[in-house]
Amino acid sequence: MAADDPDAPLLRAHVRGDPQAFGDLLDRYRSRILHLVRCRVGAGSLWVEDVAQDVFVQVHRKAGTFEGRSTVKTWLYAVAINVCRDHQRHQRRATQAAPVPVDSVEPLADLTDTSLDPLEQLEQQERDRLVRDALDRLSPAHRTVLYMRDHEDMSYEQIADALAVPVGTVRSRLHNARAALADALATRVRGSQP
Amino acid sequence: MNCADAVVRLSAALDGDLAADDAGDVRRHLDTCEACARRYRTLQQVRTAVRAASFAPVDAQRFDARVLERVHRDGRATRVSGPLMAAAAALVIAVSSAVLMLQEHGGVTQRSAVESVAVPSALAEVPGLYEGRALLGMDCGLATGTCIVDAPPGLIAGN
Repeated sequence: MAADDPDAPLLRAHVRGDPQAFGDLLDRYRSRILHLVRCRVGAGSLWVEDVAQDVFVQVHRKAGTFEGRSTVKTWLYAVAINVCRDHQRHQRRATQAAPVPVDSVEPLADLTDTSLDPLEQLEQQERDRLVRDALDRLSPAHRTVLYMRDHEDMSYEQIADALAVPVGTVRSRLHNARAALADALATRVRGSQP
Repeated sequence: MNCADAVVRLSAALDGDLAADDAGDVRRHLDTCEACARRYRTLQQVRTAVRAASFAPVDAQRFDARVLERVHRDGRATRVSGPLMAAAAALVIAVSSAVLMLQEHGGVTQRSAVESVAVPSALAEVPGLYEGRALLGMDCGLATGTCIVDAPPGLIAGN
């Protein structure tokens, strides 16, 4: 266990019954879990908030099982990923859609020769919108790994733990996700130019 | 290092995930290949864009209230079910013991022991109700009423 994990005392306090501790966990991770759930189930899903609530209910239930083999953050994200998988399984069953293999090792995609220089000229708000739109066009697996690495600054090992996949899969998935996002952004930047 | 080798390493290079030798090779290749250098800059910009992106805000108060309400409900259900079951079991044992004691003292017949509790007429007419089952007037915790409790054979029959 990471001895300097700042969240570990909080989780332990929650298990001991400290009512403030769970509120503090919510404060620290509310937005992050919501973003992660958005990545996983899609920003347009009606169920984002419900699924994120499910995550915290599960955290409350399972807090006593945390063994400290990873950081609380990695453990919490693993809980979130499992809740999202359950949700997606239910959704698939409901819609009878074909399953999407999100955790298989992927071959490396070609990186397209694309420059994003025009992005630098855009205002922050417009950039955010473009990035969100482009992220929405990626697969849930690619969105998730990009969010964990580039937004949450998690290491490859932490991401692998949270997703329950090998580190090599994280590496290839990140490569492909960045290539896909670069493509999607370039397309949208070109489309937004007069 | 050629372009194909470099391209598959760019993402890992961006994250500092390459061994020192590999990282050095990629750096040297980028110094001499403008196409790969541009790809690398693109990846850097993509990462910067994702890092800087702000996502849709959430109504924290409403979200927390819903989570805490669900957690409270979840915790209450877990806490209540155990004691409730224990109380119900204790009540069944107490009433069963009382019935046995009455029978041992011989002052109460099998029939009168059963009839000593209020039995709604509709239930009293159910065939086999008295064969291995006792009607108990008790507060089940959910609603006060008459409960049908499976009793060991002989308890009611007095065997």
